Amino acid sequence: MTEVLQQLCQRLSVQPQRIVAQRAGESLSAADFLARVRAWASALARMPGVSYALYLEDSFEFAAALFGGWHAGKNLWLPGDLLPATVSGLAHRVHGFAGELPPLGDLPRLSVADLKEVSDLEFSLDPLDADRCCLQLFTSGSSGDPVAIAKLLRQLQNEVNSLQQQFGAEVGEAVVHGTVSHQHIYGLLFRVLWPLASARCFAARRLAYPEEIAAISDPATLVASPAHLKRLPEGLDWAPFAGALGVCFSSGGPLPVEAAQAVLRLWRQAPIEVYGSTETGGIGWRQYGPGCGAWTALPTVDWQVDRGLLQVRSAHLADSHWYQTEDRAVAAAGGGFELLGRADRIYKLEERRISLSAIEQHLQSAPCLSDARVLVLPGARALIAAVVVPSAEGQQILARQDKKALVRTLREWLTGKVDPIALPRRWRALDVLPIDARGKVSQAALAALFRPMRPQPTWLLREAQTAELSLIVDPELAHFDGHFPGTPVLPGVAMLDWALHYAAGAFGIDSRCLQMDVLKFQQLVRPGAELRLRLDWEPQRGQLSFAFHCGEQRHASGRFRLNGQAS
Amino acid sequence: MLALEPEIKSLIIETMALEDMAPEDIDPTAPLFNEGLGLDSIDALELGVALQKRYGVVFNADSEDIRQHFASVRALSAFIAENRKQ
Repeated sequence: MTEVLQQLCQRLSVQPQRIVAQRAGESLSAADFLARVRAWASALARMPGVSYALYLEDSFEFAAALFGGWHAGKNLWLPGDLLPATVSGLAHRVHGFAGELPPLGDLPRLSVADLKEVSDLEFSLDPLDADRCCLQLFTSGSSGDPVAIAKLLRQLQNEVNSLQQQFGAEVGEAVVHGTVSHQHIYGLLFRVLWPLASARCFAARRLAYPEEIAAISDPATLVASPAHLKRLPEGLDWAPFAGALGVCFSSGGPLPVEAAQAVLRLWRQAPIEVYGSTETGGIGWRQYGPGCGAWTALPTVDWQVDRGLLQVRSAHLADSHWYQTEDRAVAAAGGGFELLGRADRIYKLEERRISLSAIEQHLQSAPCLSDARVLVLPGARALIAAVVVPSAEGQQILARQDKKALVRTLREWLTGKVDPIALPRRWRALDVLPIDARGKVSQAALAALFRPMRPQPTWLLREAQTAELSLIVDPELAHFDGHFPGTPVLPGVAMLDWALHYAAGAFGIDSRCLQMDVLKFQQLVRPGAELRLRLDWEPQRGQLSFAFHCGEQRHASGRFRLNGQAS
Repeated sequence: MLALEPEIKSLIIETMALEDMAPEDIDPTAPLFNEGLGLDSIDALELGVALQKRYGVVFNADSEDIRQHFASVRALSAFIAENRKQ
């Protein structure tokens, strides 16, 4: 299949009945595909200029527009999303918009609806020139502006050949489904170009929800990412899908071991992880299993580690030079390489490359701030946190309103400038940034500002008027700071806060306190303690009783009179 | 159904670990995603998992339906009230 993509339309024209794709139960044939390619090609050929941005949700329509664009001699740019900043950033790079991009100024625009008028079924589809057909994919650069990466059809063909050689036999004839968008390289290759080149049927619609995955019962390959694989609901009936699934791919970011184990347990398949980037294309793969961890290079890919960073050379790149990645790596003892994380301030959050520097720059330019730093808080779901120093304008917002108002202003300021997933979720406003002995803003000091105030609860009982929960007193809680040096003890007031906070959650009430009675602190609580918290709510009297205990031992108890109305 | 709203609000705050946010700050009719509460597609997945765990509800596989159930706290409460198994 070495040059299949160049000659795709010729090949399809001799097998018009071949099923190319399916959309909600409907089969789409090669003849259907060629008709759409001609529609896009003839319409795009009449549009002025060469460079067109293309965005479509439906993968079948997208594939037709992509090949139609190439047959019309266009150079296509694929934005990763439709954020206002992305769309306006395209304006000075392209001559027009195609697909579902919104209108922008007087830029020529071709939507799906426009196609009906101009379909030219005679449009001639000659073989494509693999060194002239080009598309531009986007990545986020360290400066924050998305960087366009050009891909020649030849490189894409080489990628597809590598995938077929490495995984073709295993994948077989199954229909290719995916949770990732074809506007990015992983989805483009795995969900669209590889199936087209290898005569496999692909699903035109992206699977957004786990329920849609569970509804699949015919032989399937799944092109997924950790965003979905980390969050598979245990309660769904996965049996039909587990029986249908042949191979599950994951790419876009590291797949945590727990997620790989969940996939294996629920779907009876060990996921195959693929490692690569927009710039380099595919680099390596590994499959979850005993002793896994090291990555094996894909066919045609050479690699070496230079000063701790991975370098690659492959047919997926535009030339035959070594390409320096920003991924720290080390050669693995048993062959292959292990990845040790990024060397720059790009952070992969839910498979999206987030530039911490870019968020910082946007915040620093906000009128209500004089300085800002952002950092990543690790956890089951990593979060972006921001430490900000309000300007005079920001101080006024704090004085006249509150921190919520300041945060709201900043979120609005960032909206459209950064990926919604990268909007900071935690905020601290300070008069000055914490500086270490070398005069630098220390990451450790910033991180300390976000230490938790409450432990993660495990609910044991949750009824209308009674609740009981188990709390492990994390030694990392901010309450132990200075209370007391060398002898950490949980402040009693922290337990009052916890009782009110969890009561609000348990009973759905406004837990603003009007009065406290019979407070007793019987035993000190030390870091690491496992506490039980019992809550009893009497709505008629607006009275909440609480007791913290550990086995037979009572640590604290008391009663609150609350505002109490349902919130 | 209205009785469920405070519970759903608490669940959202707990699941999303929303800081500085109390149940009374959430407008039950405001959109949960994007412009409203500002939740994103990852939050939708997490919230789906939490709702299934807590109420045993199963969403059907129609993405348009799911989008409507997740439109607001009110829509979500109505769906849970009708479909809860626990």
